[in-house]
Amino acid sequence: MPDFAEPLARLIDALKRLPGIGQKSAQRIAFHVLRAGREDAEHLAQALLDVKDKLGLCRLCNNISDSDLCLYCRDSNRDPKVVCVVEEPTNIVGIETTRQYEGRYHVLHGALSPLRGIGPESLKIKGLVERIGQGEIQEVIVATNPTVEGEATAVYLARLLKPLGVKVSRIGMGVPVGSDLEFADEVTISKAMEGRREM
Amino acid sequence: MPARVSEALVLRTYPLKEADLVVSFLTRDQGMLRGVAKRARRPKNPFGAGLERLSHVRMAYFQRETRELVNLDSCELIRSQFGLVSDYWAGVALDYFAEVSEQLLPAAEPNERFFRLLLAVLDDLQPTSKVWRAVTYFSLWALRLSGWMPEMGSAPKLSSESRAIALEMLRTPVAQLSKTDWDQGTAADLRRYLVRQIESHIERRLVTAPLFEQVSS
Repeated sequence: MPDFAEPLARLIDALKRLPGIGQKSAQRIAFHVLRAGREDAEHLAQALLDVKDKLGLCRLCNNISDSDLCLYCRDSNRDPKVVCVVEEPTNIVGIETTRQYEGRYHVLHGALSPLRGIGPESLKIKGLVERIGQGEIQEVIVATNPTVEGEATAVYLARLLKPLGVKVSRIGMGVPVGSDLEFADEVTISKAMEGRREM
Repeated sequence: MPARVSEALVLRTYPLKEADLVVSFLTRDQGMLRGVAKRARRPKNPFGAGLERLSHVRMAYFQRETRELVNLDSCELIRSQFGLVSDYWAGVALDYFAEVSEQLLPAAEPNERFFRLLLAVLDDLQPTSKVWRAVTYFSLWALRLSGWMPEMGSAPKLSSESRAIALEMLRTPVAQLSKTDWDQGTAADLRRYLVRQIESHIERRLVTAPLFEQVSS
């Protein structure tokens, strides 16, 4: 490995710890920062610090927020009767891009995974039960990932929440738009058949 | 760069980069391998549901002599365990099988008998009430096939029923065991003893085993 000046080596080392960044990418980013103006570097450094200092979790839904309530929980135009449960805050972005969902969210911050030592107590489920207990929520849409862990979490939530008197629904699973049925496997096809709708 | 197709059981996946996965899988003919499945987390990928935990697949991959990780090309699903997710205990059992297999088996050393053991317990796990039987049978045979089977006579404080179950398990396929009405308490002492034996040999605690105890209690 080539020797760099100590501050540059320190930056490369710090960048390498980020997910998806290897030695070459870290070097490329570090040299970009080096060549950029001081203003840009300060802007980047301040943005990094702000993320740590100014962000927290929404009191209601556990989404990332810079205030007590996140922008979705603050928005009075959103339907408070419908809550979409997702695994991670990044999942909200995917749902919001559709511009079709107008309810609120609840972020679990993970999915049930015994192999990773994540049980129900590790997830933000208690807050969801409390929100339902307040009586305003009528439907919970479980939008966990279509993986074994996500499905297990969905089943667990359905069993926990249905006795509380709310409608629990699961997002559809099946063949992706633009793909070919010929190449879909049996699990995908069977899920698509299960979730078929009348036309 | 030889192209191979192996019958395999997917043990575990780890996220890599933006949409890739590192996949740990046990093949019938090459033993346990690890490989990179590119774009596996994107909706239109060539793996479908085949990379879910303990999916039984035909895995196509490229293997370079000098590389530890193989490149996964695609997989054809033979049998999925997706239907078991509605049963939390079965889900824990699947994770337990995957964890123990990954810990006990050395990389790239074929172990066809271990592969058949996994297929047998997965077959037995389908009716979800038999979780405990499959877990106990798997633990016993995993130790035996790894060469660490303790003398059952020296096992401390095992009930006579558990000893009888262990002896029968060593002689009889899991599907033909005489005791069929298993519950959480059945041979629980034997199961704990076997887990302790596994943990002492791999020199670490199993992540999934305590969850079994929580479920049992």
